[in-house]
This record gives sequence, C-alpha cells and structure tokens, in this order.
Amino acid sequence: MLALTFKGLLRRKVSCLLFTLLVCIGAIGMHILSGILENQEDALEKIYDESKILCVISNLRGTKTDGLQIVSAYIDLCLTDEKYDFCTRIEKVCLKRTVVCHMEALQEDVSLIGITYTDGVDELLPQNGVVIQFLENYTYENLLGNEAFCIVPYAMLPILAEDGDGRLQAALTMEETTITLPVGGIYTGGDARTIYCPFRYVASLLTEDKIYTESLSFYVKDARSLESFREESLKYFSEPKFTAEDADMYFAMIVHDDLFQVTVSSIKENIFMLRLLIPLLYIISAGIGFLASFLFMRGRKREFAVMRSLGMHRTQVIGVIFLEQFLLCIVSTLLGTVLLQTLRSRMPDGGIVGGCLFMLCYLGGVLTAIIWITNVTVMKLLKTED
Amino acid sequence: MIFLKQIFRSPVRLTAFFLLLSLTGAVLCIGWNAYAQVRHQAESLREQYTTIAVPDYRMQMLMEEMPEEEVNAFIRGLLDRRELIRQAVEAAGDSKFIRLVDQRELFSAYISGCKAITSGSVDWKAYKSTLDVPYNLAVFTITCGDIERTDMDGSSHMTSPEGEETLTEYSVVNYSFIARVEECVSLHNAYTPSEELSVYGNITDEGGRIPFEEGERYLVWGVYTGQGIIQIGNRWEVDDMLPAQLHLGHDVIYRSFDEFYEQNGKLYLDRKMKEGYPICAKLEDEEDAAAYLASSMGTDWQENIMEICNITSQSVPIMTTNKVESLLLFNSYDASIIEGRSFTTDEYKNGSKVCIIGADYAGENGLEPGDTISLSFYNSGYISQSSEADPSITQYFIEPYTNSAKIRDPDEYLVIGVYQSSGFIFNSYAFSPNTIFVPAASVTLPDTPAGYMGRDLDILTSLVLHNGTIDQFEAEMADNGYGGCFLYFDQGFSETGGAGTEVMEQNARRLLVFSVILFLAAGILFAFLYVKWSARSAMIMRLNGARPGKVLIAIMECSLVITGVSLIIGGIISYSLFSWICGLVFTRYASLSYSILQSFLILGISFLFIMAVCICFILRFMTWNPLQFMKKEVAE
Repeated sequence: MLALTFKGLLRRKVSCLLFTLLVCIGAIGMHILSGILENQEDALEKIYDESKILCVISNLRGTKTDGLQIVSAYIDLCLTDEKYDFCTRIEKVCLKRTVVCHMEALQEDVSLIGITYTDGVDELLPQNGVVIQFLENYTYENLLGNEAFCIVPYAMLPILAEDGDGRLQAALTMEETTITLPVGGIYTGGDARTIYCPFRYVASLLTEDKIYTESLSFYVKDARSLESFREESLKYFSEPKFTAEDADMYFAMIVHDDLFQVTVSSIKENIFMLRLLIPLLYIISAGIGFLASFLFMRGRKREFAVMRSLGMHRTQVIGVIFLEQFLLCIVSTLLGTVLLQTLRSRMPDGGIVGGCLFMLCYLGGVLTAIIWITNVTVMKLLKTED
Repeated sequence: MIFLKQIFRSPVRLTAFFLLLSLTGAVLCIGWNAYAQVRHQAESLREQYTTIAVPDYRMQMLMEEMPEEEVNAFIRGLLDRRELIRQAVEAAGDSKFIRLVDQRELFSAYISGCKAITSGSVDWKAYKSTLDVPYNLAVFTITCGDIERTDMDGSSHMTSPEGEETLTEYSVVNYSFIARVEECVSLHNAYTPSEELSVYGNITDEGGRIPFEEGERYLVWGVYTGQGIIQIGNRWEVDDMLPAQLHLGHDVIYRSFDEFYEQNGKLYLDRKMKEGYPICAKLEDEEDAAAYLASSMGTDWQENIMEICNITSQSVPIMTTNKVESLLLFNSYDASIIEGRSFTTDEYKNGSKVCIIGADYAGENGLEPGDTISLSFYNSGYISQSSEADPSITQYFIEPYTNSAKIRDPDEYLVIGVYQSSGFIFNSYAFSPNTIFVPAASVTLPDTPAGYMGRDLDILTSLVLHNGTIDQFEAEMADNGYGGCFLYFDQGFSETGGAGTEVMEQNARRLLVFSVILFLAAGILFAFLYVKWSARSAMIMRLNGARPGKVLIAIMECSLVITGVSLIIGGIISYSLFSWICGLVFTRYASLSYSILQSFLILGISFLFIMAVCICFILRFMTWNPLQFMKKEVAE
C-alpha cells in the first residue's frame, strides 16, 4: 500500500507540491494566529504591573493639594497597617510638613520641611532646577525613617558647623528647643532658605495634636484592584466635586487614572475582539482546509473508479489515498513549523496545536471527499466520468 | 457560457468553489478591517499620551567642581547653559521626532464684572506679595507723615563713539514716609486695608522736589504689598512688625529714569512725574477721593489711573495653546481638569471659541463649565522675574493695563473645563491660577506693546515628541552636541501605553498577514483546480476548431462570475460578522466599524489577483497540443 502511495505521489508532482504548499501555508497561518491572544493578555498584565496610578489628596473641591492640614489620623491610615487595611493597598506615600525654625548661624528663620520622598515635593523636582546629592551613608530611603539628618541648600554650607568627626551639621531652634541635624545631603537650585529632613523626624518634634501633613499623595499598589480600591477609599475620602463646600478635616482624593483607564479599556476591548475573532478565523480556516482537500479529491474521481474497477476494495482505496494525503500533511505541517521557528524567536504555546488543527481539518476534508466519491458503485463512478 | 453551464451541472463543485472563495474573501476583509480598526484604536490611544521635552537647567557638576567664591564663574556657567539650551530648543524644532512645537502666546483679556484672584484670595496664609503682580495696584487717600529722604548713590559706565569709557557717578533721590490711611479707594478685595502704610517713592515733581509734605492729605497710587504672613511653630500670623507698603507709581508707566541734573554740585538722576499719571494729588481739607475724582482736577486720575486699576483687576492672563497637555504642569498631573473637559482636536483645529479656566478663579466668579465669558483681548506685555535663589528659574507676570494697549471688542468664549493647579507658586513652568487657556487658532493676536520682549520663556514653548521616541531624540540631540539638555515626561507611555499599543498593532499585523496568506493560497488553489477542471473541455473546444483566444474568454467568463459572486458574498459575510463583533466589543470606538469602501477596494484587488492567476494557469495549458493532451487523457 505504501509503495502505491509513493507512486501516486510521484506521478502528480505539481499537484503534490501545490498542496504541500497549501497545507504549509495553512499551518503557518494557524501558528501566526495562535499566539495573538496570549500576547495581548501578556501586554495587559504588563500594564497592570508597571502602571503607576497617582492619587493625590485635595480639599473637597479638588482645587487645593498643598497647604492642607491633613491630620495624623489620615497619616496613620496611609502608613499603619496594624489598624487599617488601606495602607496595604498603597505605596510610596508622600508626606510633607513644614515648621519654621530659627537658624542662629544664618541669623534668620528657615523652613524645616519633613518629607518622605523628594519627588513628592514640587520644589525639589529636577524640572525646577534642583539637584540633590546624598552624602556618604545616606540615601533617599533614609527619608522614610525618623533619623535626625537633613538636606541643606548648597549656599548654606559655609555657615554650617562641624561636629567632632568633621561632619557638617545644622543647628536650629524650634520653639525654644535646639535641634542639631547632621547633613546627609545637599541640594542646588530651589529655595536657599529651606532645609529638608525625614517627615517622621519632624513629627517626633511635635506634640500629637500638631502632627499633620500639608500634602498627601501615594500610588496604588495593585492596579488590577483599582475599582475596589476606589470603593474602599470612599470610606475615608470623598470624590472631588467642584461645587462642594470645603470643610476642615474632610478631604477628597484625586485619582490620576484617566490614561490608565483608557489604555486598559482599549486593550481589554481588543482582547475581547480577538476572543471572538480568532475562533471564527480558526473555523473559517478549517473550513477552507476542508474545502480545498475536498475539491482536490473530487478531481481524482476517475482515478478512484479505475482503482475500484481493478479490484481494490473501497477501504483499500480510502487507505491509499488517505495515507498519501496524511504523508503530505505531516511533511507540510513540519515544514511550516520549522520555517516559522527559524523566522521567529519564540513559538507561541498554541502554535503546534493550531498547525495540527489545520492539518486535521484538511485530512477531514480528504476523508469526507473519498468516502463521498467511493460511496457509489464502480460502474456509476465510471459512467459519471464518461 | 459553455463553462458556466458546465459548472452549474456540477453543483457540489460549484458550491465548494463559492464557499472557498467567499470564506477566504471574508477572512481577508475581516483581517484588513481588524488591522485598520486596531491601528486607529492604537493611534487614538497614543494620542491620549503626550511626551514632552523640557529644558534641563541643572548644573550637576556645580557642587564638585566649583568653589563657592567663584560666583562669576557660576553665573557664566549658568548663562552658557541657558544659551546651550536655547540653541538646543531651536535645533530640536527640526528633529523628525518632534511632533509639535507648541509655541504659546501670552497676553491679557479684560472680563467685565469678573475679579482676578490673588495668592491670598483662597487661603490668607498663602499670601505671597511677589506672586500678586499685577493685581497689587492700589489707590489710597492718606495723610503724609514725616518724610525721610535718602540719596542712593549709583554709577554708570558710558562709552563714547570713539570707544572712550567714562564713569558717571550720580545719586537718586529716594524718599519714604509713614502714612495714615484715610480711605482705600481701590484695592483688591483679598487684601485687608491697613490703617498705616509705609510709602516709598523715587519720583519727583517737575522741579525735582519730593511731591509730598508732612501733614498734608494726598490721593496716591502704586504697588501695594500687604503685611507678611509668618509661621510661628504651628500657627500663622500677620507680621505686625512691618506695616503694609505702597511703592508709588508703577514700572509700566515709570520704567526709566528721565535725565541727569545738578544740584548743590552733585549729579542727580531724576525720575519725574509723568503727565496724565501723577503719583499723587494733594487734597483740600475735607475733600474726599470721590469729590476729587469727580472734579476737573481729577480727570487724569479718573481716566488713566483708576482705569488702570479697574481694568487690571478685571483682567486675566490668556495663554494660547495647541495642546494643553504639553504644558509641564498638566503633563505631570500638577495641574488637571477637575470639571468639564479639555480641548478636542477639532477645537484646536477649528479655533473654536472655548476656554479652560482655573478652579479658584471660577469659584470666585461663580463660573462653571457651560457658562460663557466675554473676553476682550489686549496686550500690555509681560515681565519675567528670576528667582533670587536660582536665576535659571523665571516666572512671568502680565503687566497692568495701560491706555496704549488697545482693548478689543469682546469675544464670547464657552467655558468647557475647570482646572486645578499648584496655585501661586514660583517656577519656570508655573502659570497664574487666573490664566485662561484658549485654542491658539481661536484668537487673532492683539497688538504687542512697544519693546515687547517676545517669547523667551520656558512656559511658552513645549517640545512635544512622538510617543516612544525619547531615546532616539536624545541620541539625535547628543549627536548635534546637545545631549543632556532636556528632561522628558511621557505620562507613563513607556511603561503602559507604548507596550500596549505596540502589541495591539503587532497582533493586528499578524491577523492581516494571516488573512492575506490564506487568501493567496486559496486563490491560487481555486485557479489551479478550476483551470484543471476546465482543461479537458477547453481542449475539446480547441480540437473542434475554436481559437485559443475564444477558449480563454470562455474559461475566464466562468471564473469571473464565480470569483465575482463569491467575493461579493465574502464581503457581505465579513461585513455582518465584523459589525456584529464591533457591536459587541466597542463602546467608545463605535464609529470605527467596518469600512465598506476599503473592503470594496480590497475585494477588487483580490478579484484582479485571482483573475491574473487564472490567466497564468490558462496560458500555461494553452501552450499544450490539444491532441497530445487528449491522448494523454485517454492513456490515463
């Protein structure tokens, strides 16, 4: 049977070549199609992972985000995970508290601003011409603790005293209390009368009732749960409303998620479209494979008639032809897969399945056509051809 | 028609041909429309993001390399950097990575009945006198106290045409006095008029004399500085140590000194009172400001000075833009639309008369989206002030109205959005919360005043890059010697939007490639099978004496009908399927459904392709000898 099959194949070189090509193209097409959805879903995951959704606390009207007096209860809400679940859903909480101190060396009052992150303070942003340089043993992370150290303006350096180890330090007086802060960083640009230090350090200098932050902003930790985060935040913060009346101790939260929402909804729409489209394309492609093989087989009616008239049983005819087409399909699908593998760095997971699906559909068409054609008597088959 | 009749006698084959071609045609149309749709969607998404390049004035090596005493070197370095950045901005304009250079214009608009806000309007603690320009003009009736005269010494280098340099030393008369305020005639409502004023001046009368006498009553005008606000520990207080101040006159009128004159052997540089804009007017006993202003003596005051104060207090800065998101504060979310919306592309393009106003300004004047305001544009110029701490940081302030600025007839603008911003802050990219943004094309620029300084402000220029081209742009700038001159802000495009749109487009391309490949394969297959099927009949026709051309036409007629009808059916299938999918999926992009015209074109091209392949196959077998073909057929 195998010899017969090979002979049959060799006799129709052009047809075989053409059909090898067709199945090969079909398999490649299915490969191409198969990774699309996964790609898009990966992209969505990446967006969820990398999106930084900024939330800024404002007055109830949403018009003011700085110079507020956000009391310690809100600070605890954002920082203390023992009491509140809210803080586990946010990160990079930017706080700011200004106290005025007298600097004897300068003979002037200076602002001592407690912060948690330098990029949460407009005055320290690079676009405002500010460069911050931390000294040895100090980094941005030190601002998160309550260590006594400060970042001073470059212009202030000459008037600062040194401690016993030769380290610069700033001596300040705050409400009759003198504090000495080792210099942990220097900044150029910006206001030359402002000293920055960790927020918690400033808080430690104040009595409980005087602790507040002038501005509060943070990022949502998991963008996937943005909606539930919004719902939860409504327990503590209102939605800003331009026509609202401002009230002390009540604040609104501005969520800068417009672009995130637009991006995510676009990609979700795209994924939804692909989910509908891809199966449809699979079905159509499978149908095309089926039709192609069916048409091809119909053209060989006479051949089957002769085989039957020479005494071959119907199942034998089906076997020979099916084997012939099966071999063709295997070779073509492998060829397509290898070709695609060499052209692309990574084969999508469903690639092989897609290729095999096309092959199966093609073979299904072959089988249907042969059964259909050989389902009649030999004489009728020969008569039709005449 | 022979072949057509023949194929209709074989309905299974015909149906299979129809199905094959219509399905592949449908796939092709779906693939193309999906591609076009996703590209459009990705483009719309990219449009939402704005990537900008902002000059970076930071001098990072300052701390390590420059000793403190080298102040001159520092200033030189700063100027060099500014010049470098100016050149870089100019060069960047020609870069292919630049999508838009938003060159904004700044001028003023008078809005009758509206009141501009000042730094202390919303929160008295936030009062900063330097940020209240130009709304700090004031008119008072005062009683003059003890006048203190101070001759301030100065010098100037004069170079003659021959190049000879001479040094001129002179004195400027400055005077000050404490005045008791009798009446506040004009002052922004955010200020609490104080009972006492420190009055400062250097403008003299025609004879070079100080135009005040102790104990006399005067109507005066000038720049008002309220009492400072100080923070003591945890509380804020008005600084009572220093009274409020009034600096007589205003630079917009008294910008330059007039002339040198000699008195008692000493050279003085004089700034004389200008006609029409006196800095003071002596009041008779019992005469109040209203009576004086109503009298013929008060005409200049009424027509000029009061007019300056009134119009200025009802004027706001107007900034034109072609993309409001290209302003750094909007781009980095330090400013955002909190009510209403931003401008649409069409509004920018058509120059629609719409505007975005500040939240505090809107609150103060009871405005909200949907209201209309009458803007009477004029341009009296602007001044830019540098930060004392960092000269590279400059901020603009519009100048007060003067009679030389022509106020246009009012234009009705619809308020479409309200923005919140960082308020009254001092930095190069900050704008006053009074600022109203309008589309650039919506306004014909008012005439600029004499000596207008142009647009050399960071706030007035934004370099908008094509999204995702920051690295390429920086490399191009570095190649041109301008590396490290810019800071970039892309609203998170590189982390989110970029990756998302890239994958969307990549997938759409893959869909298109798939559908094209499938169509090409099926088209070729159809042509091969059809021609193969028709070969025997064609050869019989040839043997019966039909010319090859006639045979070719006969075969083509049939294929033309099959292909044409199949592709039309395919088009209908694709339209139904795609519209159904779009209807299910898209909410915001509903208008971007199936493109009939494009599909028609695609199907037309596909039709021509199949015809061409059919012709190729037919021509191939037409070269065969009919007799030999038949012999072979019989032998088989």
